[in-house]
Amino acid sequence: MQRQGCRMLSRPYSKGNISLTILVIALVLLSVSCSLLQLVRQEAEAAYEDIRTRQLYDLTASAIRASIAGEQENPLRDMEISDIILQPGGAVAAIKQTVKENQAAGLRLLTITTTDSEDNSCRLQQIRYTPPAAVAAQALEHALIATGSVEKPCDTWSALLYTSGAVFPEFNIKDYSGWTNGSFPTTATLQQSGLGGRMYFDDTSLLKLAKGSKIKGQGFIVLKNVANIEDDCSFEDRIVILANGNLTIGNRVTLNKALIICRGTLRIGADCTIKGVILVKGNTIIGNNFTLMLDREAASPFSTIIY
Amino acid sequence: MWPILSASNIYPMKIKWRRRNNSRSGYLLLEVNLVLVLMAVLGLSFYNHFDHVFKTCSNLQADIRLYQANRYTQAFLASELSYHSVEAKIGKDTGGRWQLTSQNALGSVQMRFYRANGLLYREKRTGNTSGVNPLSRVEVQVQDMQLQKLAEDTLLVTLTLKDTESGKTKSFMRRHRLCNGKVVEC
Repeated sequence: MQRQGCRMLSRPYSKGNISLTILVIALVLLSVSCSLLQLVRQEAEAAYEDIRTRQLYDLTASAIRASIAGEQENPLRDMEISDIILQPGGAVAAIKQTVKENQAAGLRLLTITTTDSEDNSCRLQQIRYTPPAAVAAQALEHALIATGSVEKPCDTWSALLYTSGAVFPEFNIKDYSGWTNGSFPTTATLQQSGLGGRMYFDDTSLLKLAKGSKIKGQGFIVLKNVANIEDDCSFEDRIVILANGNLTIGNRVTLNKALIICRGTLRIGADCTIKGVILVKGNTIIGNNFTLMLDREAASPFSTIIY
Repeated sequence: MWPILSASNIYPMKIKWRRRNNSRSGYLLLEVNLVLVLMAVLGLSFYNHFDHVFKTCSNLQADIRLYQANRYTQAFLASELSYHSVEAKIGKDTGGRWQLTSQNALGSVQMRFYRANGLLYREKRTGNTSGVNPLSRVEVQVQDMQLQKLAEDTLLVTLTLKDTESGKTKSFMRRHRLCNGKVVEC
């Protein structure tokens, strides 16, 4: 037995066993250290990316707000500012401002893009619609400016009507396509979420609001074809409607601070209330108990949100 | 050429080997003892090292969890406040806890951010419907949320987060700038 034990201990690979154990321990320690290092590195990278995103956003937001604020004094133009050092991090960034304008349509798209040396970027843009000068001039005293015939049951708001010598601001509907991203919101989306302070171009007669819809939020809606606003609908915030075709407004519809420019025939149902300015080229047919109030602010430029 | 083996020349070799083996056995025992001592010393130092590494590891993991949870939560707030909010109302609820109500650019959408049961929640109201989603991770508790108006369009959100596993607590501050709106105190 003693001899056997002796043999067991004196196996030639016992030293190798110990070395192997030490190696395994060292390996485990090394892998733990490596995984820790990797974890810290990943976290540092994520934090760095987060800071960079915020830096670029801050820079872009500051630039676009400064450009918009100074637009009255200094007309916007394409420009680029480079070699901006971002701290912390020390990355080099550049701001690019592009301005797309269509004066006939009264549209201006301002885009600010900020990029850094690592190809991260942030982009913000805003659209502004400026109604033609004729709109603001006529809207000083009149709320309904019609170049065609006007069928109305009573004269309670006749002082606000302007027909002889009225000027309709001509526009080409094609000038308004391609300015917006995405499709026109569905009726359900409009009813559920409202307008999002953006420009909407409807080229497929999608605007068919259901009865009793209460639409909140601001918006600039361009309608290529005929559109229908059903009974009891209401737009609670500022809205600009540019209708290329006929526009039918149902009974008991309320529009608050609205600018309606309609090239076709405008039909307004009974018991409607519109506060704002209406310009019609075609015929205007108005129902009973129509309440019209002038709101000059409705004819002022409409700016979308920065998005 | 293979050597010719016979009983006479194999026997002396066996004796020789046994003798050598017997003479080395004491030496080996000493060697093994030395190795065992060495292993014990090494094991002890390794244990200390391991213990230190594991403590550092768990500490680091807790820190990372807290940082990740902060980024996760603040990203939701940033997305809403930076791009979509037209008005951010800050105030305290009946329990004295801060809450943030954001009116979205989409007229019928309103978001409310509030803290309850160690979590931060977002209540989204769209028209007549509403839904509540947790904005913080389960493994990290939101112990406190402080809101402060820094400027007309800037809001400071301070979140105090606690890692439930390690009990570690950390406060994170983040400034949110509203692109389209303003901050209102109420």
